[in-house]
Formats: sequence, C-alpha cells, structure tokens
Amino acid sequence: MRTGFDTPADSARSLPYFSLRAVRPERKLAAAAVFSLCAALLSRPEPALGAVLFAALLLCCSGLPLRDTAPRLASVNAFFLPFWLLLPLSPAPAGDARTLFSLGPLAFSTAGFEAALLIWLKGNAAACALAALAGSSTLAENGRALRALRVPDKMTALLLITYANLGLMAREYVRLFQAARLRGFVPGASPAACRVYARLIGLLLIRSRQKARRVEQAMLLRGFRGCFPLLPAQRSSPPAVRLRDRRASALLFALCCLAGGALVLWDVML
Amino acid sequence: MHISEGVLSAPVLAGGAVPALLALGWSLKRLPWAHIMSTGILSAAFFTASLIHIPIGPGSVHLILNGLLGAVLGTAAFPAIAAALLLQALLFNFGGLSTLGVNLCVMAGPAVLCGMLCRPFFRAGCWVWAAAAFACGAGAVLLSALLCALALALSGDAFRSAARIIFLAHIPIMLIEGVLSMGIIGYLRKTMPELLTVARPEGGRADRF
Repeated sequence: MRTGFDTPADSARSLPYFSLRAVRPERKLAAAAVFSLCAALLSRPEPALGAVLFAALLLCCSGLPLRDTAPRLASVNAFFLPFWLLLPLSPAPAGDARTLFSLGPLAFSTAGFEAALLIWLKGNAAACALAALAGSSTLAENGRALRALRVPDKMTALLLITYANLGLMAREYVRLFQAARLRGFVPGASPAACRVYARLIGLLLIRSRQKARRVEQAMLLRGFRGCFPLLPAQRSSPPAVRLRDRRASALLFALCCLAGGALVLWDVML
Repeated sequence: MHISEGVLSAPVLAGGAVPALLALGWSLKRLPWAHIMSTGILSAAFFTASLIHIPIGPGSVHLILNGLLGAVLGTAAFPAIAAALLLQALLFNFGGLSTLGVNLCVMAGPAVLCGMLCRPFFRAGCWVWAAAAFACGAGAVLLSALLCALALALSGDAFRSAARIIFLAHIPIMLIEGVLSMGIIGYLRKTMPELLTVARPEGGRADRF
C-alpha cells in the first residue's frame, strides 16, 4: 500500500530483474555512504564531473522509473538555485579579479561561478548515487540494512516507527485542515491564521500522544519486553541465485569504493 | 534549513559528525525502550507539521518546529531528529548521508538546548510561559540558522555572503515559529499539560527497559 511517503522502490510496481533491486540493501547503503563521502572531498570540477557520470551510470543501471527519480533530483537541484545566484555575485578572493560578465552594477565573478559549479556537481553526484542505491530498496529493507550495519536497534526501531506513522499523521492533519477550511479558515500569516495553525498542530500532537498511549498499552498487554524483533528478509530465491546476488553485492560495493577512491586520487593529483 | 550534499568542506563535515555521534549515542542511552513508540509517533507528528507551508505574500515558508520538539521530547529530540533527517534523505533525497552529522548538530542541538531551558517555565504565570514559549520556538530557529551560517562560512570564503543571506532569510521564520510556539504551548497547557513535562515510564514492566 502506498502511503505518500515512499522510496522509488516502494513506488515501483515491478522492477526489471537486472536492476540493483537484487543487491543486498546493506551493501548498497554502505556503498552510498562511501561514495557520498568521497564526492564531498572533491575540490576540482573535473573529478566532480566524473563522480556525476558514475552516479548517473548507477542510476541508469538501477532500473528505477524516471517518473519516480526525476522529481526527487529536481527538488535537490532547487536547493542549489540560491548558490547559483549568490556565489557568482560574492566578492572574488584577493588576487582573482576575473569577471564572467556584468549586468549593470552586478559583476558575476568566474571564481564564484566555478564554486557554484563544483558544489552543484558534487551535490548531484551524491544525490544520484543515493537515489540509485538507497532508492532501489524499500524503506523497510533500508531499516533492516541499517541494523545489519550495526546502527543501534533503538535508532532503527525509531526510524521504522516514525515511517510507519507518517501516512497516518499526514492523513490526520489533512482531515483537521479540511475541517478548518470548511469553517472558513483562510491560510496565511495573519494573527488569526497563526492561532488556527497553532491549534491544528496542537491537536495533531494530542492525537499522536493518544495513539502512542494506546499502542504502548497494547504492546505491554502482548508481553513487550523491550525489543522490537524484525522479521528476517524473505528468502524465496534458490541458493544459486542468492550466491549470485551476494557476489553482485560485493562487486557493487567494491566498484563504488574503487570509483570514489580513484576520484579522490585524481582530485589530489590535479 | 538543512544543508545539501556537496556544499560543506571535509573539516566541517568531520567537525559536525563527531559531536553529532556523541550526542546521539548519549541520548539513545537515556531513551528507554518503553518510550520508543511514543517518541516515534510524536516524531511522525512533528515531521508532518514541518511539511506545513504557511503562505506569505507571493511565496510560502515551511515550519521547522525544532524548539517545540525539544520541549516535548527533551533529549529524545536527538534520535527523533536523526530519524527525520534520515527519512528525508531516503524518501526525498533532501540533505544526504555525508551531511547528516552537521545537519543533526544544526537542527537538534538548538532544539534540545532551548527545549530544556524553556520547559520549566511553561507552567508559570501568564506572561512568563508566553515569553518562554516564544523564546523556545524563536530561539531554536535563531541558533539553528546561526549554526547553519557558521557551517557555510567555515566551508570557504565564497560562502560568506550566502551564509549571511541564509541567516537573514530565517528571521521571518524565527518570528513565525515564536508566535506559533506560543499558540501551541498555550493550547497544550489547557488541553494536555502532561505533554509539556519530562516524560517518565508510566510504571509496570516498562520501567525496567
């Protein structure tokens, strides 16, 4: 069932077999973390462009539908718009007076443009890698993968409980908001509107607390002893396929680490 | 508020990751298993509330509510915000994995600080609670914006003017959050005051976890 808060893998009805879907989620998450870290260390546009190309290749191999990944990448790029506007207009560093072009009193510096280009490339490389590697697993698989990567049990349980209740809380807020609209509420920033928003959020918190209390009591009645056991991953495929998937997982992880390392090395040598 | 991947320099990323990991470990140790469910559900409610967009003129601002989260959850706000940031990275590609530490410091540090400092005054007389509620909401956004600007400014000279503008852009959000926190805390004082006190296990078997 779709909740409105899904990874591309949650949204996709059927993914092609050759996709990254078969790779073990913990390997994919670890590979995404290593590659993101390597991309963050780059300081030249050329290796950063290489990182984008590698991440784009991963995205193509993931087999994820473009209609699910494109809006996510578009929203990531919206974050970089202020930097594209602000960095070229910032004062250039001492000794670097290169001007790309002038627009009336505004001078766009080449150094600022290069800085904007670098962070845009690095940001897109990390975002594409994350979309391909983490997006090709469902959120439940990612939660289980975090546990396999030795993230504390409390943290993974909290992540999964928060995710499980997101759709419910969003529906509750929409219901409260529509009820307010029916009573003549007009959204805005006026004092009266702020009062209504405050009551809506207050009501949402009260409903969530009441639900939490009911769930806690139900858990205690069923013998909760301070541990959330996660069901093991389904193993419907035959052992030969599982072995192939394990090899593919190790290969993908090694490939991402090698690519990240090679890009950092290239950056240092430039 | 949170910073995208690719913007920050390596020393800033490392400087954010270390205190974030220490604070997260400490707060997870303090969080009993019996409170995981209520923390998760409240965290989902805050996540939903932070998606609310308030129209202002031709644009809109979205709420952060980290001060209120700190006031309601206390130190559990650290793992709650970490879960929210991780969910935003996995679901929407916002933020990212390498910036998780810095973003956690930016969002959760001020939340816990302002929440813990202001919460004792929420049950006080008429103007004291209102001032504390405003300070909790506005102060957390102010400190978060300052930390965000500091992280940007420390990442390179090119980001200094961007950091200044990002800080100035958060001033209206700060005021709105202060006013809204006043309204929400006023409403909770009347309807469910126990939400504004330090959560303790309610007895029985849960005490042991």
